[in-house]
Amino acid sequence: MMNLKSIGNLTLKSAAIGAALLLATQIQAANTLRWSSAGDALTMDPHAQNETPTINMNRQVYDTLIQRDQNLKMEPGLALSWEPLSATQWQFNLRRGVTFHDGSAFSAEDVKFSIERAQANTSDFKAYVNTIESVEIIDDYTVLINTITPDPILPSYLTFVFMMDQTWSLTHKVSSPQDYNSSEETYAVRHANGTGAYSLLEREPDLKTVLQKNPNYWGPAAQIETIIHTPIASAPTRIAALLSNELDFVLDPPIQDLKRLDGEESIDVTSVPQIRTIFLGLDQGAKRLRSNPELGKNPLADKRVRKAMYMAIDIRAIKQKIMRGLAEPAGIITAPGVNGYNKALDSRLPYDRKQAKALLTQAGYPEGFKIRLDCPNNRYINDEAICQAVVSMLSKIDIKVSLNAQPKSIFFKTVGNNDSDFYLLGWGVATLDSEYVFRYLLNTRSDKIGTWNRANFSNAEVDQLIAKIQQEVDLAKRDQMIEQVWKITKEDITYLPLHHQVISWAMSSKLSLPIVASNEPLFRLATYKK
Amino acid sequence: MEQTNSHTPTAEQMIAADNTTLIKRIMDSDIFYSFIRSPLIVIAAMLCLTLIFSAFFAPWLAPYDPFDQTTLSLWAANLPPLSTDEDGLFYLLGTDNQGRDILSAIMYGMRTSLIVGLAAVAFALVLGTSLGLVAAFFGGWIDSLLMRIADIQLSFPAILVALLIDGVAKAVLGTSQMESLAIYVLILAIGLSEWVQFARAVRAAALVEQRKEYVQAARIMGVPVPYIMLRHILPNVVSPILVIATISIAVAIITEATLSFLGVGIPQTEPSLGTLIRVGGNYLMSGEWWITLFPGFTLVLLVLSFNLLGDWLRDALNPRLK
Amino acid sequence: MGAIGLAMYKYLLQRLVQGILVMLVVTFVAFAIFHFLGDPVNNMVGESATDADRQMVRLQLGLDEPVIVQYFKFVGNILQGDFGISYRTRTSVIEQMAVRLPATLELSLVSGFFSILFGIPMGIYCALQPKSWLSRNFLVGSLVGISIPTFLSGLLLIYLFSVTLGWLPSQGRGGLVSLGWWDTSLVTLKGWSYIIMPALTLCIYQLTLITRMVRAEMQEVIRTDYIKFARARGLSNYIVQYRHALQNSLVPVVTIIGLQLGTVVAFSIITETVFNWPGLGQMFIQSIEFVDIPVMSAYLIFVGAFFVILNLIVDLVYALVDPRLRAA
Repeated sequence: MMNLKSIGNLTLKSAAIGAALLLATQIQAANTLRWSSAGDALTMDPHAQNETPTINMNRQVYDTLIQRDQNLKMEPGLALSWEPLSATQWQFNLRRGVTFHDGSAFSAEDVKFSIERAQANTSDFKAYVNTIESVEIIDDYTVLINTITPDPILPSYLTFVFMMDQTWSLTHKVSSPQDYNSSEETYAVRHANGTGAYSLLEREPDLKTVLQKNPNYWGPAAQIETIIHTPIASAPTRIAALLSNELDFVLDPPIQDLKRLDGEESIDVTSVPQIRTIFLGLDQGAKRLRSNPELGKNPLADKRVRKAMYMAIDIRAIKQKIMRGLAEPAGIITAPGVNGYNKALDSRLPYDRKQAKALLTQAGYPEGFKIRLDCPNNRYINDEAICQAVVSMLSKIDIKVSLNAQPKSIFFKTVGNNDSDFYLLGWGVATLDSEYVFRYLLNTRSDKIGTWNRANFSNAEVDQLIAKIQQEVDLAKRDQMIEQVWKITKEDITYLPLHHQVISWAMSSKLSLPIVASNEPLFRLATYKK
Repeated sequence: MEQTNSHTPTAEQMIAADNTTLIKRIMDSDIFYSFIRSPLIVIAAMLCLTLIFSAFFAPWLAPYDPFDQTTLSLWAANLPPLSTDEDGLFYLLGTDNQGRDILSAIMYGMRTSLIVGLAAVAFALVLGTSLGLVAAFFGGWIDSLLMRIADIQLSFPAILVALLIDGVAKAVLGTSQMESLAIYVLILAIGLSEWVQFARAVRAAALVEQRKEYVQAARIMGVPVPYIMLRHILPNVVSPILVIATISIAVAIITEATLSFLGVGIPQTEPSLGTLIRVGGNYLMSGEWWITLFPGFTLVLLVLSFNLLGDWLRDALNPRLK
Repeated sequence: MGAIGLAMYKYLLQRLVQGILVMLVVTFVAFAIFHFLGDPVNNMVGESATDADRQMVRLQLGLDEPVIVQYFKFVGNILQGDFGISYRTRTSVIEQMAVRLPATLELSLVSGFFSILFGIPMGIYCALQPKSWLSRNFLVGSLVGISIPTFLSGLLLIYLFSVTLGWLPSQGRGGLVSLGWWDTSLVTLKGWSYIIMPALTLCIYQLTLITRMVRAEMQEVIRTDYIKFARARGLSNYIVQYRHALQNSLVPVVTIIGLQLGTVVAFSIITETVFNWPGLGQMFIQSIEFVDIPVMSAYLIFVGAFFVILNLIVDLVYALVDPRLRAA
């Protein structure tokens, strides 16, 4: 009873403080960047999730040996220089005087530890480091990396391997990423100790993440003191928050809102082609269609049918109306900026409904056929709308498509289980090298390689070329082989390319933040205009 | 208040009375008068009839067939109201992101919404009424079992019950089959989440009714139980059923819209009003307000007209409020 | 209060057992469904993982076992107080819920408070002045309110008050003051500026219900003999209406409001999604998308438990009032 009065007092005081706070936030904190995206990082454990939002957040806090600048060119990170000593051995010279956020020094020990941690069974990055046989420490600032087979793109892969502090990891019992079946949360999920430009101040998964400037950062000091991330799943809500000045930056504004946002004086919009291509997959390997077994055969096995479907797609309409001009029609399933891409390859067959219909008749389907299109509805930009448009376009050459649009968790299960005849997929290229496309989408499928080759395309020549590409250190020779693979699969019409995705960022016009094609903001480069 | 059953009628009298009761009661009673007297209700009723009419005759009335993929042109997408596309086609309420005519999509969408709403309520009505009658007439453990189930279900909100049933159906049918069966599953899910109110009301009314002498007499005379239930008790519980049904239709339509909004309802290829609003909601901030606001407005009008009618019926049929 | 009889204990025990059975059924149905929502493994590993990696994760999680076995393991763990960790964020589910619980409860309570604050006076007025212009507007207005789906009214409110007028924040929960483990937004003006729109959106349905119920109950009571008698005895209209009539009509209303609190909690799923309110409903929707089985199950158990407890309380109240159960 006697506490009641003091509680009353407390309430009054808090109310007063609150009123003051309300005023305070309206005058925007000068050195804070408040940003949002649809999803949050899943974990702060830098080796546990190979997923863009997670990598985004971790990259602010952790560094890699080699990193990419805002133009995606490789530049020294924690390694000052690197060179191949032989086909299977690389030497890395480390940066001196770097400290982790807790003050301990960064050295060769930490490199060995981190790479081995990324190779652990529970790591989600092991595909990136599976060619590494061993890491040898020469001295505190020199390491040798030995690979099992020659690996010309090792540096590319290392731009994803974050460096952790060995001592900190051992102290907090996080020497490997968490087991999937463990029932306890590990320390690294909400805590981080990196060498990055920002340190992790506060982390409440799905609610709020606060980063604070690292005063001892080895590179040019960051300009903005505090970064606050709040995930907002609903797109209209996210945009409303930006419009009402509750946010300074939105990573993923819906493209239909860009025109309006750009019209606002207080908001700027920037766009850049992303390293991701959207395409349709057609299972050419199946005996018959799963979604239409009565047909008795698989029309997709006939190249003329694939070509007809390709030519029936009016990519200009998709670009203008669904993507609002923010897409580059694609001729191959990889984007500009990826090694092996060239403009000549990236040309499309013409949109020609008459010829498409003729091809279909030649192939023995004058009346078309029925098929199901599997499509995600929350993975790529306007994915479901693209699929709907495709359904309508194919219906005009009498291919009757039923659309099965689902959330990504179900969609990837359907495609992953090889249960789809016809699907929409997008592929980003983490290493910026064509090999990353070949390895997952074009190699004959087994449980180690060709994971997403659900077109069930199988070509011995392509497989041989891919195996050689993976080990060829002579880059000119390698590029030639890459081009050959692209030519063969383009000729085969293995996939129906649609477009290269274009990403857009919307931010307060006071904020300057260079847009990056990898869709990873580098907050250390952000500044407020004076 | 109760003038009819204070004496014991003969069987012939009962049958003769039954044939006339329903229509006569409605025409003679103050209901008709009360209806004419209230302009709001007349408007609501007319609105309701117009919407239902335009929904069910959509294939003949709508200017376009929004589900005919072969006539859809992406180039006509996102046109504002009162525009004409390259081919000279006119769109009164504009087009959506696939080039569908919004007016036609609303008419077809309303049809889907109404079919789900009406069918779900019909299902709930039949199920609830029969279970209510059974519970009242047999009493004992059947009664307590049924009412316990009703209690339990009533404590969960309809939307959660519908979500769960929808999920079970997905589990049983598999997702690809679900596409074509989605509408039936929704009807079942919403219907099952609404039967309780009918059962309770019918049971309560039937309990009162069956204690009356004429029912007791009929039982003694050896009239079969189902016959008594259908011919004597059911007509007496018509008014509560009617009220609950009207309001339930409104609730069912909203529930369907909400489920579709959450993405577990009607698929986008044959959208209901809820699906149209969900898809259109993405364009609200960009200034393409017509894609979501017209379907939204239609939904509100439809639901409101049912709510108004139900509300009025409740007062009009409640003898104590006269 | 006097001796509480054996019959009452028996009755309550019976209801408790029923409650537990209900929860078992609900969780089982829920659990079974989740297994068909999708494969969590595809979300848990990146696109660079091989088929062999995926299979390993599936085995580790025990997802290859029959659903019924998984269910019993799950219930077993819960009985030991172990709700597991989220597949998605790898954080403790119980902790995640504890952080979000205040948000949902405050939203529900404020929304319930609004509906009582407006609903009871409106209901009384409508009962006492049935023919007035205002009463008719209240009644029709409330019908319009329940005819607008929450997701639409929420978006329109945001558009009006945040984007166009710039008066209220469009999303989230701010102005928090920590009271131990409970972060409240109810003691600051800023906190209220965040909660007001979602709470209003959420309260419309209850508001209509309460207005109508109070009106109906009042009308009934006014017609009863003892009120007529009181009037005949010469008590002023004021006393009759406000003391006797209101008191008598409030008992069932309060009961229903209590029970409705559960519905509000469940309905907040949609409101929280629209306003990015960091509560349990938002967590639930996110977990459905990811097929985060531990989180989904925990949420359903929470909602189930919440309902069962509310029902038990109502039963208890009835039991205390009902002389047949109290005596014996």
